[in-house]
Amino acid sequence: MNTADERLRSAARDAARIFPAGGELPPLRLPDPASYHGRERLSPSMGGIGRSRTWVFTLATAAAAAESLRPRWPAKAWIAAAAGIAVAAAGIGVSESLPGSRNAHIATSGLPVIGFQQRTSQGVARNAVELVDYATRAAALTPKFVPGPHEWMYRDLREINSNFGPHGDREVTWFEVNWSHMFALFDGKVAPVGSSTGSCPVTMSGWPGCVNNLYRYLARLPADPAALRRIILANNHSDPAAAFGAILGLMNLYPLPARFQAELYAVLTGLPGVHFDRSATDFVGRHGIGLYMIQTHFWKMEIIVNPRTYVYMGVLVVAVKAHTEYGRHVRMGQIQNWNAVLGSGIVKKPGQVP
Amino acid sequence: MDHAETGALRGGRNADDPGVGMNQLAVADQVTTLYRMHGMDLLRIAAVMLGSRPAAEDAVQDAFCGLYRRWHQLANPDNALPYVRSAVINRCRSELRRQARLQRRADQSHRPPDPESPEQAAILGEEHRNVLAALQRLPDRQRESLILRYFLDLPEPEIATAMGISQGTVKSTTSRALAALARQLKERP
Repeated sequence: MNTADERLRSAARDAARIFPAGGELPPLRLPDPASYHGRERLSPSMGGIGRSRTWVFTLATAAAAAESLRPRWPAKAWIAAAAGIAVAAAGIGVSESLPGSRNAHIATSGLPVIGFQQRTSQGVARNAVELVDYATRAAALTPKFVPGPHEWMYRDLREINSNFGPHGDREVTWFEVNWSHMFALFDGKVAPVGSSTGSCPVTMSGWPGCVNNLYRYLARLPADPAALRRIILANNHSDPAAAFGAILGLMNLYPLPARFQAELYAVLTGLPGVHFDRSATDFVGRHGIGLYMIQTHFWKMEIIVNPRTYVYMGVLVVAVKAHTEYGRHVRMGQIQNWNAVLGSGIVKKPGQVP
Repeated sequence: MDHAETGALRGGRNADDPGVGMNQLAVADQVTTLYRMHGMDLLRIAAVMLGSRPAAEDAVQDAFCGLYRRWHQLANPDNALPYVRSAVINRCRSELRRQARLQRRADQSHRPPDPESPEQAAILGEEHRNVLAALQRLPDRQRESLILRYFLDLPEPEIATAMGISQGTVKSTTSRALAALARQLKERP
């Protein structure tokens, strides 16, 4: 080993041995979005959206939820504020689909409803077995529906999390199924907020492939819950907590066919560590039932479901024990994320509701 | 933000940017995927630059957090990796400057890290620690060009992008750096 070149090459080989590609990395702790400049809230009252046209969804995965904690208000204040919103929401007649009367730009699409419907209810689910049973039977009454790439995913979400103020945010959005274009409701108007030209704009944690063909992937999955559970676990390093987070993320972002939704309930109830909650409340105060898991010993992640229609209602991530995380104290009862999906479905064009 | 990081962000904020409209969960996924794919490579070069694995982990973590914050400013998602490489280099530079300032403030002479320190032992095997020490005695640009070329195996155009200099400068800097390293190793084999 004579020349500097040779010695450098040898040292580089040694470094590659010590830092091998694919080796174990320390966990990546991404920051709280509220802590950086340039972030705007998707709240018409903020007046910042039209200026920047940048929007941010805020539901974090299990890991990200635990890692992006930045509380600003005590838990009691969050709950009080949420209750206030619930009252306000009740006053304006919030239902599971956005009423067209609230905005002149909103019209129904005429496409079949992708998820559960009120008329297919099989009764009120009082435990996990009934939830799976009723949801499965209700789903069998709904038509099969795989959204096309140029149809649109509509979602009306109200959310509070540790990054927002006590009044939460409202996001009404339309994503083209192939993720080429995105629109959102700003100040009563449907406006484009972004586009993507890449073949694979983003991937989704716990699900293979790209988001732009996720429906096609989901349509190919087996209907048998045990087989489906095996696949979802395999996609998530056989980690039930990761599988739970992947399902939660999917339910929160994608309007899912009722049949697949029912299969996911069956998968969830079969995951180790998942419990049934007879009484759960979403962010706007609607009563539901929950499937939850305690993650990392401190966080309860709960999927809230309408017990009568079996529709996914939202999520609650709350600390069940006081602890210190990344140098910050987290109180018991502190809310990391709490939302309510007020409307969700597949439509033909942005600006429409199911 | 150092100048080298801005190159990947020149597109600015625009509704047509591919990054705009992504939800934060999706951005986190993208950044995490990039971290899984390239984090170890970047950790390696940061460790060689800083001579300390914990400091390297901090630099890489900071760089990816910076990418996450500024994702919506990327003109093109393909720019993410060059951006984060530049960010790691800039953070290493900042950290080395900070260490140098601390040493000066303590009225100590600026010495290279002890080649036998436990931290360095975690970066390279014993037979290579003198190479690491010699690299750390080189001027910043020379050290960076060699580390990017040898430890990250980058071609000249990508070294130029990462360092924010021209390809010609990369060529001449690397040539001078190799000669300087050879002298260092001859003096302290």
